[in-house]
Amino acid sequence: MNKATTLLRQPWGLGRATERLPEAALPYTTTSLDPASQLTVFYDGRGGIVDMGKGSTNRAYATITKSRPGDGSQNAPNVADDSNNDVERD
Amino acid sequence: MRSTKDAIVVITSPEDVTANLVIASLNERGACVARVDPADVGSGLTFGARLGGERASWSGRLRTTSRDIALEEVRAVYYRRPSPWRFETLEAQARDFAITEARHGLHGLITNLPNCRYVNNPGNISRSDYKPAQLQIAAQLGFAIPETLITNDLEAAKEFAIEHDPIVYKSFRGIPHKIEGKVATIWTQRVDSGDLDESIAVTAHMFQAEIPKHSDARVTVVGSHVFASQITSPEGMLDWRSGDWEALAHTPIRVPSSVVARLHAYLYSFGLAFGCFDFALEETEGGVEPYRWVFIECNPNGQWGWLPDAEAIADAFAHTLLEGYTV
Repeated sequence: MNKATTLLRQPWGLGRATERLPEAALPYTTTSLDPASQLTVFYDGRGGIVDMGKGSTNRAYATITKSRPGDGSQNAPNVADDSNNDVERD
Repeated sequence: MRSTKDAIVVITSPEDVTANLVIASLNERGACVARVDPADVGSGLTFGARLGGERASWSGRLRTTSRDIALEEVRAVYYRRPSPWRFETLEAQARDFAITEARHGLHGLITNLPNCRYVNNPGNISRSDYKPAQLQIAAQLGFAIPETLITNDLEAAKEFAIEHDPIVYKSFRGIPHKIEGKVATIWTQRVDSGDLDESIAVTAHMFQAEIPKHSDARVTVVGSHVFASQITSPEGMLDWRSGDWEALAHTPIRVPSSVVARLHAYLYSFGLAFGCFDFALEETEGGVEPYRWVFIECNPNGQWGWLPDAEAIADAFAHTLLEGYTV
C-alpha cells in the first residue's frame, strides 16, 4: 500500500467504534433559571416541572445517557459518561 | 439584589443537573451563588474589568440576568461544563473571531481572578486531561498501571500485542459527531494482533495490556473527601460503560491508605482539587489487601451525579468551595 492510500483511510481506532448508540428522549423540553436560588428548573412539554434532583432517575439520565437527540439545539451532549470529544470543548 | 460579597461562581450550562446539586448544597449553607454561562456573553452577560494604576489585580463587574458580581470579591469558582460558544447569528469569520476573543478575554479573565479558589482551574483540567501525562504521573507516584504503548507504528503495535496478549485498545477521547449529531463511541476493547493494520499509521493509538480484573472502582476525590464505589457488571464487562447501567452494582469499598495518599499526591501534582479516578481491581492471593488497585485514568472534570454518593459528593464540593481544604 502506498502512502497516499494510507492517508485516505480512516484511522484504525475509528474503525473500532460502535454503531450509533440508541437515542434516548430528553426527560425535559425547556429550562429556566430561578433567579433567587440560581438553580435550573426543568419543564416538560406541558409546562410541568420535571424532577431532576435528589432521588430522581432523570438525574442519572443527565449524567450517563449515551446518546442525546442531535438537532444541535442541545448543549454539549454527555457521551457515555466522561469521554468527551475535544470538538465540543471550549 | 443581595450582596454578592464572597460569591461562589458556578460556571456551567443551564442543562447541568450536577451543578444543581452543588448549588443546592451551597444554598443550604447560606452561600451567595452566581450561575454563569460564558456563552451568554452579549445581552445575557456583560462584564468589565480594570488593571493598572492603583490596581495590581483585576477588579470590575460581571453581570448576568440575575446577579451583579464584583470580580475581586469572588471567593471561589466551581468550573463545571459551560455551553459551547454560540454567536450563531454571525457569519463564519466573525464568529471565529468572536469566539477566540471571548475565550481569551472573558474565559481568560474569569479563570484568573485574584484571591479565588478554583475547583478545578480549567488550565489544570486541560493539562491533566492528557492520558500520557496522567499515566506518567501515576507511574511516578507508585500506582500500578497497565503496560501501555502509544504509537502510530504498526510493527510496534503488533510486537506489543504479542508480548502482552491479551491487549486492549482505548481511544484518548470520544468521537466527534457526524451523522445528524448522533453519538457513537469507542469502548475499551480487546484487540488481537491480527486485527491491526496499516491504518494505525494515520494517527496516535493507545494499547494496554489487559488487566485480569475482578471488578472496577470509581473513586471521586473532592478536596480532602474521598468517595469510592466498587462497580461490578453482570458479565464482568471489559468496559463497564458499555452495557446496561441498570444492571451495574455499585457498592461502597474501602480504599487502601497507600492508594488514598497517592490520589491526593496525584491531584496536587496537577493543581487539582477534584478528580474522578478509575481503577481496575485485580484479586490478590494472600495479601493484606483483597485487591491490587490498577490506575486506569483520572478525569479532572468527570461526571459523578449518578453515583450512590452523589448527595454527599455535592456537599463535599460546597464545603471545599467555601472553606478550601487541607489534605
